[in-house]
Amino acid sequence: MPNKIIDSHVHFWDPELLDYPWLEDVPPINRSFLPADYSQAIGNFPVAGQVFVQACGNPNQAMAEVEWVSTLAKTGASVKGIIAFAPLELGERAAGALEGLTRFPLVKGIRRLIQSEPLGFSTQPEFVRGVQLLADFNFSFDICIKHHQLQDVLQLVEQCPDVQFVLDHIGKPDIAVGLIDPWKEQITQLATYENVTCKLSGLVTEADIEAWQPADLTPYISHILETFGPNRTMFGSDWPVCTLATTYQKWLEITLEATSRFSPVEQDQIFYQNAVDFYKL
Amino acid sequence: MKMSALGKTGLQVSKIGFGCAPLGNEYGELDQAEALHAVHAAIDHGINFFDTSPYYGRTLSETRLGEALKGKRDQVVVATKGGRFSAELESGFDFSYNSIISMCEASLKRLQTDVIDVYQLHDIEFGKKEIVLNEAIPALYDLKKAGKVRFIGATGFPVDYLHEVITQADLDLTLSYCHFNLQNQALHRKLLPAARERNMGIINASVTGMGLLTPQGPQPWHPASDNIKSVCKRAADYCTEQGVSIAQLAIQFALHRDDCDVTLLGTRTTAELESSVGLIDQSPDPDLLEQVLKILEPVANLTWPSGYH
Repeated sequence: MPNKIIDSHVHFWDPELLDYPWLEDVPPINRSFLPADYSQAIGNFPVAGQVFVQACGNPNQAMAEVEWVSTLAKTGASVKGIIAFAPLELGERAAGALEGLTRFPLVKGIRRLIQSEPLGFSTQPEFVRGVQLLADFNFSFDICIKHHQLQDVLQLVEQCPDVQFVLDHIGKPDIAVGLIDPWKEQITQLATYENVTCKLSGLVTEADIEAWQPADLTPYISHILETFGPNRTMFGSDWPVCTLATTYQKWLEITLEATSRFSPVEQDQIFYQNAVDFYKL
Repeated sequence: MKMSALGKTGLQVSKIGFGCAPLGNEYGELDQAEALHAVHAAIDHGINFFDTSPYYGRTLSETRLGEALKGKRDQVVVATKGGRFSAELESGFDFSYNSIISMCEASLKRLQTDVIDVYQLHDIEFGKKEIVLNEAIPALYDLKKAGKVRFIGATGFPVDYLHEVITQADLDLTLSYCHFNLQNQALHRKLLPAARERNMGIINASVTGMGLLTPQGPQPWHPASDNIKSVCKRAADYCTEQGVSIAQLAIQFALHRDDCDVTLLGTRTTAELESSVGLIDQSPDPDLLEQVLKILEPVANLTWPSGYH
């Protein structure tokens, strides 16, 4: 058991402050989730800090979300980094927004959701250009897709050798129906790019949220650990979204169990050091 | 129930103290009625020392203890803590002067009392030493002067660091956990002699090493190395083969020595409580003890990192 954990994927939100239209489709988590709730959720696990990942659904509030989370960090939350929204599909014209985000020292990277966009979104030249720009600002890119978009992502990554990528939620394979191909082969390909890291997060909500068993996740976790290995895999909770299907502690226990064959140094990489190094926390 | 003097405090306390973490559902869900019943059963068995913290169940344990002690407050010694409120390594702790004062006020309300008998800094190794010494401990002195608390202390895991702090302050007692049990007796190295020299009360906790020395083994969050865990499991399995629960041997081992004034036991059910109380007059089976200590020898006194000191 590592003696300190960085949780690479956490959301906080307050629907009274900012707009989260997507929460209307998930009533159980359609309320505020704040650092105090997180402290409760982790139980006795020694969390040294979190990476906050954007969750606000209104692009016009991207900066407001960053300001809000920066304030949370100043007033006691152990947020070590912020992954902010930026409209990368604007290509060169996204530079202004990225410039603005450099004013916030906690902003370490960008996430522009791809999962809800049509196929081809992430391969359009303007979007690719927007992602390429991130290297100039020293920002990483969080790839949040559904599994059927992996082919597009392979093309995107191929065109951005100078950008540091992290795949959120192992590319959201359809665990509920046990679909493993072509996800498996595409993950193997993606892992050949040294500038791509993978978050061990978000699996339970892709499984049958009512009836999943730990064994349902095993083939997916094993494949990620085989391809990305302990040097490029990082633990993330995806809290509070994970609470739709499990508890924070249960998910952490599953990942600890799945990584128990690694050495203490490798476990420390997965649960702490890789996030620190990747996001420059 | 055997009683002992708690250092120089003048308090007479039961040798078995009631560890209140289970009241905060830290070891599984307990409903309100079960929680209150557990406290009352402990009192009925002669236990008068109750140790809680706002950290246990994130205030649930204190609130339940306060509820359970209605009308019985005078019969017991209530110990609680300040400075820690979650497991988060940074934001979960605040040992600043103002934090300790306000946490104490909040605990008084939750415990429904005008005065806390024993108020302790919770897990001081997670604070900066200069803040603990220059802010938290002065806050304890002021709380004592103001009559909000009667006696003050510090708790923590690394015994040598606890020793360092208690020798630089004027405290009434100290609490150390996982350092006087079958696997680890490092309490006797420096902390216990120094506390005795100062006539301080000394409280022992986690006689099972937070679950290491139980038949079922520790929870997944347990910070010990795999080596410690596997050797302890070997010892636990050995006891099981001999028809004894290692937890029982662990309790006997801690209780039959008079080293500490109070040994905290975290019992969830009345049955557990009764079995623990029953162990107080039994010394451990010497042959079994010898075998178990031999099995544990490769990890004797090995510990794990906690906090920053």
